[in-house]
Amino acid sequence: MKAPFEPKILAFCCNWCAYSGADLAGTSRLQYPPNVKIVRVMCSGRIDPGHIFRAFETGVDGILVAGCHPGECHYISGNERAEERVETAKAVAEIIGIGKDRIRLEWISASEGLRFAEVIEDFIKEIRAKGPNPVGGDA
Amino acid sequence: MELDEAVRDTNVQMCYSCGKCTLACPLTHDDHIYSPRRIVETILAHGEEGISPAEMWECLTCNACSTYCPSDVRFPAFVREIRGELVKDGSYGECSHAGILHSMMRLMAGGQLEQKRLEWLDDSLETSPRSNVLLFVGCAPYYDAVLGEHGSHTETTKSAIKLLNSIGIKPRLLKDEVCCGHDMLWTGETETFENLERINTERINKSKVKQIIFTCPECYDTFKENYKDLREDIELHHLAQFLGDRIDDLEFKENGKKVTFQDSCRLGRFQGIYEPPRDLLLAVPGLELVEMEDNRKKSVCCGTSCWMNCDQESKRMQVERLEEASTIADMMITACPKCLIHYRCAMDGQSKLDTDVKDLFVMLAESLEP
Repeated sequence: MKAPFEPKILAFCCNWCAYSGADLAGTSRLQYPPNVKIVRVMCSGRIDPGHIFRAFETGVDGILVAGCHPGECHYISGNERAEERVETAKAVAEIIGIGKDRIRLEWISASEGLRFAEVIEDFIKEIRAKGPNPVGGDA
Repeated sequence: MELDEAVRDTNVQMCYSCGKCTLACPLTHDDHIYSPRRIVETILAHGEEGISPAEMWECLTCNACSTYCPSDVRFPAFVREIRGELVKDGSYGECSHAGILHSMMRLMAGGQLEQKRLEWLDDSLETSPRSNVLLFVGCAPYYDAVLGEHGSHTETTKSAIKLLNSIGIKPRLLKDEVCCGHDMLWTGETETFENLERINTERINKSKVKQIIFTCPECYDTFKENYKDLREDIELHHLAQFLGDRIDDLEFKENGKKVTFQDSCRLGRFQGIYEPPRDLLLAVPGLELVEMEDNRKKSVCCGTSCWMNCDQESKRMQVERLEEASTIADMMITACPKCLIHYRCAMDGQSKLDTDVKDLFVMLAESLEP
């Protein structure tokens, strides 16, 4: 029997806000689906479209890039860079046929543990509706 | 490793150490020496242990060395074979752009994705789904998305369609073509290349296409030299060559610019197409064509190949070439999207470079009589 589709989500979280938000979700014992793997980066501006597509190559179904709210970046403007780069990645995802909805950019602060859990839940719901990454692979 | 075979196939054993390759190599200059001669000698003497991966990935595969080689050693082809073996051992070159362009190619090689690669087409461009003439679009839409204003390669494709329309040809475009695989082949990812080759061959062979026209010299070279199973009655042309043969049908308006032409490695040294682009430029009334000191087979590489190893050497080569162009002409014209992208990138923040770089076909389409 074929196992039901379980989305595989990769979340790039910045060290200062989003990762701390994820930490808070954990210490607050908030429940969110276990489909997400978190990669901590120092700043969301570290993420290049190349990283996103390398992940798609391995069969990841959705990618979340999460950083500090605008104006609150620990490195002043890293999150602005992240925004530009995610736009580029979305444009390429659209042309290549993966679809821009599989990439999501969110601003999550260190105090927003609840919001982190909600974003993950919502994103997983969306990807579940969209179906698996056409590339396949076992991520 | 199949080293003996690579040595035999590419004539490497014929090297007699004259060193012309080292002098011809664009990577060699006052403070840095890249010596194909030494690399070849070391490998011939020590076999596999003599291979230095870093040196293998540094080569630009521009073919300058082989052009001068009196013994017909095909060094770039040798590098390509060795890279294939290095990849099997897990050694890769340094990808630029965090490897996104390589990822794209691997994703396309899977063949499962439904691309939306023709969104840039507009109503002013006439195409026909039943035409016998196929225009191979290649990676143009991706360059636009990834590289922004440095890319703008669909501009070239649009211009190509305009030029073809002006001589009464409505080309066909394939919705589901994939990357030609040039960069995968030259970075040693042979398996990915073979998948891309298979997909393109299947999709083109089952159409009734008689001619394929390329705007990109790399696609042209790859189809011509490395696609083994393409239907035999299909003719392959680079657009410069195709238009060069129909030059009397093209009508251009006056353009008083002074331009110089940058020969790209794949179009020039690999395929020997030197004169058609120049003939086309000279067909534009009033246009003055001046030559840089190193032109035609002596032309200098644009500094990077296969989206790999972009470093200070690349920048040096690009800036030197642009400086040379800017002293003699208003504009540098090239017929290769990668030359265009690399020079445009090098011009960023170099205010002293008083020149412009433009694609040959964009330039020609702008000069068309309305």
